[in-house]
Amino acid sequence: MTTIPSQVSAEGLAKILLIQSMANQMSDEKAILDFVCRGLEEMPGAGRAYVKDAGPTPEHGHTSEAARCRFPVKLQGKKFAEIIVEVDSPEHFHPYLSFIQNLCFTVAVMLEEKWLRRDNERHHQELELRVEERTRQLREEVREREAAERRAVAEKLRAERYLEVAEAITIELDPLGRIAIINKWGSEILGYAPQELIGRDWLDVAIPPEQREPIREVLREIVSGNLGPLEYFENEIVTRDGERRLIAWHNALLRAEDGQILGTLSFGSDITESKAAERLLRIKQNDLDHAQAVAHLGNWRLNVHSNELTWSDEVYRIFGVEKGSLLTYAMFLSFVHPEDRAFVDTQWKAAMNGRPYDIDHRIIVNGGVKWVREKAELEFDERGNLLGGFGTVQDITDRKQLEFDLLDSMRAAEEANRAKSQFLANMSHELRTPLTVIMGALGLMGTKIEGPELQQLLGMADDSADQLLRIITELLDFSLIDAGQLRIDERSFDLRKCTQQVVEMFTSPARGKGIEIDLAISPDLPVFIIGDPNRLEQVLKHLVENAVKFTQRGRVEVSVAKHQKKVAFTVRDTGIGISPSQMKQIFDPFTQVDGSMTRPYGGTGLGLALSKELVELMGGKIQVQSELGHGSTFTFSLPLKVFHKKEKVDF
Amino acid sequence: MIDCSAYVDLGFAEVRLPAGSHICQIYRDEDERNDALLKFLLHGLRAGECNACFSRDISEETLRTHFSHNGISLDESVRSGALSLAEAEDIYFKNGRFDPDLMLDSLAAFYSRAVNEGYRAARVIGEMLPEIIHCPGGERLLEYESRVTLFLRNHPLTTVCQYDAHAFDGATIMDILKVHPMMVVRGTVIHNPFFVAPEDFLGK
Repeated sequence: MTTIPSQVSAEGLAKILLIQSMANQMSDEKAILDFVCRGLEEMPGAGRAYVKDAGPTPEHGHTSEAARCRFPVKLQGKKFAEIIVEVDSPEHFHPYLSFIQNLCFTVAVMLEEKWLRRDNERHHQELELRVEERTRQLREEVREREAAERRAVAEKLRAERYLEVAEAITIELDPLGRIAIINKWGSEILGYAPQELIGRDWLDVAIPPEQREPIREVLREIVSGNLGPLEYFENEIVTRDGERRLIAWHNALLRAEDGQILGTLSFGSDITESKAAERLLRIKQNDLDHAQAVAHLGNWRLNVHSNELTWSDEVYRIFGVEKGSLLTYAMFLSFVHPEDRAFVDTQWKAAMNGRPYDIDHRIIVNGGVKWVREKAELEFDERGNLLGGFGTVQDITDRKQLEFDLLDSMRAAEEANRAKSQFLANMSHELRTPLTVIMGALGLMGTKIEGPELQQLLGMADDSADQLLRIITELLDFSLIDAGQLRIDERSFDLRKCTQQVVEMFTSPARGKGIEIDLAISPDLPVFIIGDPNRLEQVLKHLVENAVKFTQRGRVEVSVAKHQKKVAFTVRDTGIGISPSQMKQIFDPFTQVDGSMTRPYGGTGLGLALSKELVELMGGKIQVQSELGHGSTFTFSLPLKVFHKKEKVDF
Repeated sequence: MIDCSAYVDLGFAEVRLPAGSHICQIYRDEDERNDALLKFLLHGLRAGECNACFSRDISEETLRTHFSHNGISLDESVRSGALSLAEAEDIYFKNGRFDPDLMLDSLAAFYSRAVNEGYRAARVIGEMLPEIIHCPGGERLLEYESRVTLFLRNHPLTTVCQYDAHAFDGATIMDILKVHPMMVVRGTVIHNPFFVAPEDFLGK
């Protein structure tokens, strides 16, 4: 039984017991120790109380070391902290020392319990967390495994479905070449049910007899490991009906995990039709190439999207470029003749903006010059962006050479014609001069000689000289026109007077033949017009003279009328008329209505041809309507240029 | 007139105490707090006393259920004035500060009402909030508690002050004990050996 010192009061003990009871309610070790210290301060004789857990012992006022009481708090045999009580009155405090030591021991146990509880709780929590984490991991693993199994099953089913619906023969052969698996497509192509094929020798079932042994040998080499798998090859198979199909095969080796070859897996595509189409296409391409070579016509195609420019073989040949060479626009331009390069570039750029591209130009090939004709049809999207195009290149060197030769010939002929016309013009002039002298001499002779016979001879010479002068004059005019040297005047003249003079000129000869000649001038015509009166008179004279000449009975009518902005001249006769065949060449030089008539009617055969040329030079057109035996009507019209008073009048 | 010599049953302790006792309960958890609170009020109502409760986190529904199981209507008690309920914040921290004078005035007013209304006794249970440490006027907590002891000598309100052992540090708890003459230890009400008489405490 413990003896309580007499100095120990009930109140002091109660405090210690209460501290002990209450301390356990505190939340943590610090709160407990603070509570205990503050409680100890309330003990009899006690001063300050505090906890020393680390660092130097704090000095508190005057209290000496001897006045301090130390109460270690040990946890698991080690000092955790020390409660120090500064004792104001040892005689009052010391009686409680053993109780306080017991209190501190109890506090230590209390702290240890709290720690253990906390550790246990932490361990428990950790354990729970670990269990929970592991449970979660296991659940996840189970889920993943189940998902993987589901995926594997789904993939297997999907693969099987793919194999079934794939338009490819899928076949697995064992090392002996027997069919282990074949899909629906494969069995259908061969014409069997799948179960009829499983286990049978593939080569015996499907390979044409003449190909079996070589293929068997290859297969044997592959499964024995002496030969790698032929990843791709083509061969024929024979169906149940005996039809042969061409198959393209992709192959793989099937190996066990230890590397042992289990067989082969092959995927075959039926390329019978595509090969045939390819063959046909090749033939057509060859034909096209040949046709292009014959026609020297090549084609190209541009695909902007894929940045591809393709040339046909003939284009390569035309440009002298090795087939398959890199093709760029710059390279193409380098072939173009330097003098044509800017033109080609401009035209091509215009074509890129939607303009037509159809040009001839030169290219330099192996030092020589070639002419090509290029056409292109470019394609654009709705926003005007170039998509591509198709074009042709034709070697037109030979045709161009012919054109140049022809042009040279034409130029030479024109030059020769001009020289001839010049010669004729010169000759006509030279002939007319002495003829004029002859005619003058004949006129003088007429005044000197007498007697009817001499007068008759002189008259014949005078007529012939006059006719010769006319021929020479017409020849001169014609050659001037031919040489482009005949000039048409533009001046004002009296249209009525000009016309009347011509008609009056032939009134007497006409009456001599017993035919009437009439003139009708429309009153709405102006009196003065602008034109060349001499050339107009020349044309009218030809037409009226011919009308009188080829009319034996009836009449000749000359009319002038206004027709819109033109003056229309008409010479109508009731003469012999013109046949349709003669009409075609009526205006050709040296042609008359009837060759046979030339002699009886006379004339140079140049009159109508000259009239046509003159009318056209004056800006008009001449026409004829006629029926054999019923007369002819010549009509020509000239632009009506009205005279205004400012201009000079030629009377 | 309330009989100062009368003994009252706290409800959560085995002994009866004189009316006007000032008791401190240091509780460890909510169950311990609620158990004491509900029993204290239930016994007060059963005894026909006038009751006041300043607490936090105790719902009316909890009170209603507990009282209902014991044959007492919360709503009726409140309506009759036998029970006054208030949030601890609203009582302790009026105007944002802790003012012992206002608190004592409130207690005086409550006591007067109980007397005027003829209650044979009155009791108060209040939970001191840990925010008081940092609240303006909070440094006067011990002064207040000590003055309550003085006040109760003339106004025999049986008063229980509840403190959360985990919300206050150990030194503060010990200081709080010094200003409460009675305390509850493991369900037993004892005279507090650390109690310092208000005359001495306030004299210091």
